[in-house]
Amino acid sequence: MLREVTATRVAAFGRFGRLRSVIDQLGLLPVLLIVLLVFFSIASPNFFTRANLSTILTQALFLIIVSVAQTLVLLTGGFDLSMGSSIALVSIIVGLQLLDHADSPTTGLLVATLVAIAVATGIGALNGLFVSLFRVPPFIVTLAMMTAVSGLALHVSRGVPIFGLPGYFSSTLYTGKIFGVPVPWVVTALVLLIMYVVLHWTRFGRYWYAIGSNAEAARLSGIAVRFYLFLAYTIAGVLVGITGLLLTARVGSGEPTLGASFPLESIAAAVLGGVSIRGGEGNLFGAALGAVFLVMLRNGMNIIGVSSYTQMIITGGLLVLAVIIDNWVHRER
Amino acid sequence: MYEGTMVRFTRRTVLRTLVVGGMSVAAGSLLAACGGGTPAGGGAQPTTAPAATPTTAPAAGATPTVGGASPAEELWDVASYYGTYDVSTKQPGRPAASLQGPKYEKWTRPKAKKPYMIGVSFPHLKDPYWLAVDYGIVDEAQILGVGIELVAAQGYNDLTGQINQVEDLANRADIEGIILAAISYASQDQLVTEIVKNKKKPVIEVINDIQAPDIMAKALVSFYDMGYAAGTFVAEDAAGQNVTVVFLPGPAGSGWAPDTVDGFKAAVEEKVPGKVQILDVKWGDTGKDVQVSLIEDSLNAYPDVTYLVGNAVAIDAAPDILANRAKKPKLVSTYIIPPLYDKIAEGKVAAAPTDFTALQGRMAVDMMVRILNGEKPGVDFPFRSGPIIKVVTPQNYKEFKYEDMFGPRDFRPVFSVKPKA
Repeated sequence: MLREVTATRVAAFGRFGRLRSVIDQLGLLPVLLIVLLVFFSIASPNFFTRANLSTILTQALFLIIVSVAQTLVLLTGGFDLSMGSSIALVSIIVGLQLLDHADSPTTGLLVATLVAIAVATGIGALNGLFVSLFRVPPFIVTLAMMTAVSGLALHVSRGVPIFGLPGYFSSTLYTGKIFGVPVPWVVTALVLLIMYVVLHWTRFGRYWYAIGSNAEAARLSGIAVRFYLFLAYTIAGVLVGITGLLLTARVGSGEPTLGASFPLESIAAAVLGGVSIRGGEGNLFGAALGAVFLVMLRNGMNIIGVSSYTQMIITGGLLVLAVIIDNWVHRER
Repeated sequence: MYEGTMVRFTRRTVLRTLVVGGMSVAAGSLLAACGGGTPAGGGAQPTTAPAATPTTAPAAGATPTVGGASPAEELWDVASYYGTYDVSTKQPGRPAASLQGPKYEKWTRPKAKKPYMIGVSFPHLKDPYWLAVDYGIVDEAQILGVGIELVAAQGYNDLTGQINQVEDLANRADIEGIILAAISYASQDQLVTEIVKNKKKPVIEVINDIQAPDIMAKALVSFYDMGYAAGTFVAEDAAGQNVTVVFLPGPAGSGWAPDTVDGFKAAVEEKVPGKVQILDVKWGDTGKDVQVSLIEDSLNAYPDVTYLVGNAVAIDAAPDILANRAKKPKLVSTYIIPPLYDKIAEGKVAAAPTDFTALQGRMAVDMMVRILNGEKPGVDFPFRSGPIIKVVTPQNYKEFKYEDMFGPRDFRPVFSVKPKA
């Protein structure tokens, strides 16, 4: 019986049915990831090493958290371009706070964490307010916010990095370990776990999917659409704050342009991971895999010595390929 | 009801947008480590190209402090070029062959005959490098009693923005001359000609080289020379041993980062032929997060490399990355920024050349004042001049005045200075 169902399903995909069926079930990204892993491992002995795999994962963590944040917003049918400048502002303010608490690690870490989350959450809440209450398109709201916050970060920092941060900051939040696991890894795992629970086991999550699928239907069903839209941007802000904090610990200074590439990268990661920009479709782990894919591709090309210009061509080409395969798998059966 | 807030894109259309419509933006962003575009995070640098004769100082003497010096006093060491600027003899970055030089001399400060008002245009004012230029210009203007009106574009990708800003400055009746830090080497020739010929206002160049046949003077240092200085240091530091280098120049598409590579290669080939092997050149935007990833990848790819050479943002980030690694390559930057200066002082970084950024800003103001006073560039004062590059190391860093390189630590951007009545 099962064989018959499978055969029917494969037949429904027509030519190359089995391959299309496999990709349709697993998703394109895991397949591409495995292909990349195998290819780079064969191409260079320095790729598939413990140190390099650890590097890839560490580099990907920050993009993973931002991609999760972006996914929350994407699920509601919006997106957030201001995440990069939020990270920059968080970085600057955290840097300044740390300089004020250079001699008191506990206070410094506490203040830095609270300030990071407060600043980014505030920016997220403002985005949410404009999108939900004033019904300004997310593109305009977050583009304007990106510009304004970026200017604020430069103004506060004078355009100069905040350097000379106390050593305890990076040694706790970047190189520090909990039960032998680096702190950023633990934080990312917690973020994924908590957000998974929120998305799939709480009303919030289901409502976000519903709003993204059809906001009007959601409203007619009694969902407080405005409130849940506001909440999505605000919670995304919390995650951006966490990223800003961790990324500042990684680079060891407050940087007024930190995270500038994250908004587009996170959207690309989420979309590659199967999250629909139209809203209502996708999941966190797809977005996380998308982030890992982008980072692994970049790392692998660096390791095997692909020139920067060629890297750009290959990345563009792979995106084209992704579109083609996506169309091929999902075309009318 | 809420459809107005929903974006009508699908996964496929977004991918298409990223690939087709926004290839330059999306791919550049997705692979920020690939570089190109606007430098950021302390990395913005000039658009210069190879100079025929590197102007690295043979001796590591310190430059004198400027503040409070009398106008007639000989100030700092410069490499100058005199004569007539014939653009047909000009190649990118090189001084025009029609000029005579370099002449090594001391810079002197003029007196302003009137409280002139000078316009200044920067590619941007988002990092310590341009903040230092701003300081040099502002402080020199205050010393001379002239006014400044400074505008800054959005970055190296904002060429049209800078052109508009410069035109606006030129249209102001009170602006008597313009100091331009051009975004493009060859795309602002007409702009300069229009202002100099039609509006009868002098335009001079600071920091970034420019082709413009009607440019009236240049206060700048070549980044080829900066790379050359870094290469000379590595060649001497290697002391005859075979060494390997991973080079992290900065953005691939920029006008300055490739020059540092060319200068570095020229130096090591000239000083110690065949002894310095460049294993890889890793281009990338000067965002610190991007550079950190590039360094990590490079160290994984080449665990035995003996020197990491590159942009100041990368070299500033490197000591923390190396802290947990067994093998520690020596770190050499191609230019210097404030946090790097501190790391050199701590002995974590081996060397970084300085172009005395703030002094270049001062020289531009001096040049403009001389022109407005009626002096002739190339005759009464050099057509092209810049501070002599010196290499800052843990052994000699105390000899260099922090303010000459970066301005005071507490300096904030200043966009306007009123002329003395």
